[in-house]
Amino acid sequence: MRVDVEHATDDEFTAWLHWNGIPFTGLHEWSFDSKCAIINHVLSNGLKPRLIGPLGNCSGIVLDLFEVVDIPRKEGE
Amino acid sequence: MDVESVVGSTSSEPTNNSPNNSYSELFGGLEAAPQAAITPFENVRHSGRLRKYENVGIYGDVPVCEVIRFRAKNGRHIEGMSAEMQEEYDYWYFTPPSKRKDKEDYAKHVRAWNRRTKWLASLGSIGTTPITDLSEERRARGR
Repeated sequence: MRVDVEHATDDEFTAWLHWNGIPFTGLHEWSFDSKCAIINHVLSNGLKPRLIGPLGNCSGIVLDLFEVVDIPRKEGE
Repeated sequence: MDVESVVGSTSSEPTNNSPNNSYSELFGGLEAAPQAAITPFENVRHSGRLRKYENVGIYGDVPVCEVIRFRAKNGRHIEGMSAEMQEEYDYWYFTPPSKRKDKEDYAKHVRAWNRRTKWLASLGSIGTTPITDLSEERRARGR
């Protein structure tokens, strides 16, 4: 199941942060603003977080700021 | 921040307290990255007015102009916004000023409306579509 930043649950978003090695302290609860804030914090520090492709309709800046990785599809998917 | 960015594939029950191999299961078998050598982000709850009109807030809050553009472009507010704040934004930025209804708030409402006009101009035709005027909807709600 694919989710976007806006609709990701707290667990999903936290998992994505851990998967990208993004360090944080404090709450594991995320508002839309705090999700944007931590992503901007990471980007401003020169990191390029990973997203799993293929991406849907999104602006080109997403491709500049994030690393899009492909995952092998299982048989039948 | 593009709100339509994709986080990635997850299971229906993600966890956040497992070693790296659990994350790799969630993210297509790809290993978790080592922790980045940057200052950790402090995720704390802040109170009070946090948004600035056109700049990111001191705690990283999305500026008001982006909140309004999102509303105009998508026909709804960003996820998680309280009903009270939605009503506030809809009134100041999506209901045209009216001397009769605004009374002493008329000048303030005009200033807000001018900001909205400037912010939505970059969206092209979206800034002039009926969806950006919620006068009728608010009237129906008795507001």
